[in-house]
Amino acid sequence: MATAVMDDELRSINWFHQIDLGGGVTTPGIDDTATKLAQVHLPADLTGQSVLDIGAWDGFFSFECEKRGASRIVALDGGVWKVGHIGKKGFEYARRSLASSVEDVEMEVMDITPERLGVFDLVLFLGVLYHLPHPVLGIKRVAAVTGKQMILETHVDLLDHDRPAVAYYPWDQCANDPSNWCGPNPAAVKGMLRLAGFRRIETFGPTPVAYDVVGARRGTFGRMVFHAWK
Amino acid sequence: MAAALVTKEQVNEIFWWHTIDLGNGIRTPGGTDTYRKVKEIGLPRDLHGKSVLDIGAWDGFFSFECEKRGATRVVALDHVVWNDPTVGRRGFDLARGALDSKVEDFDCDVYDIHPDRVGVFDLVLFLGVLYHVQDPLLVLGNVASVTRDHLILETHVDFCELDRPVMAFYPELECAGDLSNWFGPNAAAIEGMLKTVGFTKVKAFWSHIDSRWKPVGYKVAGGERSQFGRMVFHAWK
Repeated sequence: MATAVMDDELRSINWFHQIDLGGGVTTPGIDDTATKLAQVHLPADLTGQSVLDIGAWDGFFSFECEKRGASRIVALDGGVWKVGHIGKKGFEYARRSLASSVEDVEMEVMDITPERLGVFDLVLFLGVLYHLPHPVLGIKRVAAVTGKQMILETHVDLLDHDRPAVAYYPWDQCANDPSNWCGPNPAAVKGMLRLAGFRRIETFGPTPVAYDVVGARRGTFGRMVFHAWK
Repeated sequence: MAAALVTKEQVNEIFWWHTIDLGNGIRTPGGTDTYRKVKEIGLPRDLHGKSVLDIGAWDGFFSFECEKRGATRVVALDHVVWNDPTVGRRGFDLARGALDSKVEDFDCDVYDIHPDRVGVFDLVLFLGVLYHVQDPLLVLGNVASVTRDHLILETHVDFCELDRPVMAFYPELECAGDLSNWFGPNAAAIEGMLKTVGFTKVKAFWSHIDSRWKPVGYKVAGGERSQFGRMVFHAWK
């Protein structure tokens, strides 16, 4: 297995994930990945499972599933891997350093079909839903490649409303980022998951980590995790 | 072509949504008061020289009305209703014959609307459809792509007490007990979506107001009466 050192290539990459590459080297990502991992409640044992990681970015969660025994893992990303100043360099560097067998597919969520990708026991859908202008269609696309379980992590909004509602961000109302399109509340996420064919849903959170929303009271938005089974 | 002679018996065999005056003292017994609605939506009085697309045309009242107001070409588009075995296109066909109308019909799902398929129209009517789709922004994008100038959108609205863009989501029977109702956006959400899909100017107003100046509309389970109603949006490219 390759041993990582903090070389020039590693330093030149705009890391998102903090990934332990061994030899005392952790990638300097801006994301608090360890905290996110704890919040996601990833199963401890994934022996024999196939996993699809949608919105993989630098691949932390894909590599973590490999560590936990998954037999096949596909890391999928679209937007991020195509952005010039971010790209796929982090993922490729980490995969090489970890001597990992994680596969990679470049695809947009809206283009996901079982014919193109196959069906996976476990699908990770972390930090992507709120980037979709058409969240219902997006969840249906992801559900179509989910065999048993989906783990969905997302920004949520309108936590002070019980009935299903979705905040819409036509401009940069959410975290000052025009790529954030929607903030569903927990009832809306559950409704979309049921509509997409999931029968059992467990929720975790909201967590204190949150994107700010213009016009919303603090405490009415945050991040949540949903485990859904077919 | 002369107008087809229509009897009351023929009219009564059909399940009508639109009230349409067919002449000769025959008025279709529609479930909705179209003559009130046409005032509420602010349809331009003079449509001479305009092409019009009527999305969700059903029995065609608004298409026929545009023809009366001088539109040069009118296309009535529907899919869900015209392919429903209990409703179908019988009302539209009978009314078109009785009115000796030249309105064209086009069977197309709103998800499949595209300029290459449908063409582009000066005025597009999109009445009572938006809340029936699961992906409102996607469908509004399709509608914008076939609109040259002016869109009239009429819809159920919800969360009207909120200033920021919010949509109620109805995964089950929350809205009017009808499984085909999916979303109740508020005015800010509709305006935001219209701007996102390329309209530059938007005017909004309440459509159905009762005698005590309260909005009338579909009831929403768990919603307060002050939160929901019906609104009209005029949008220009």
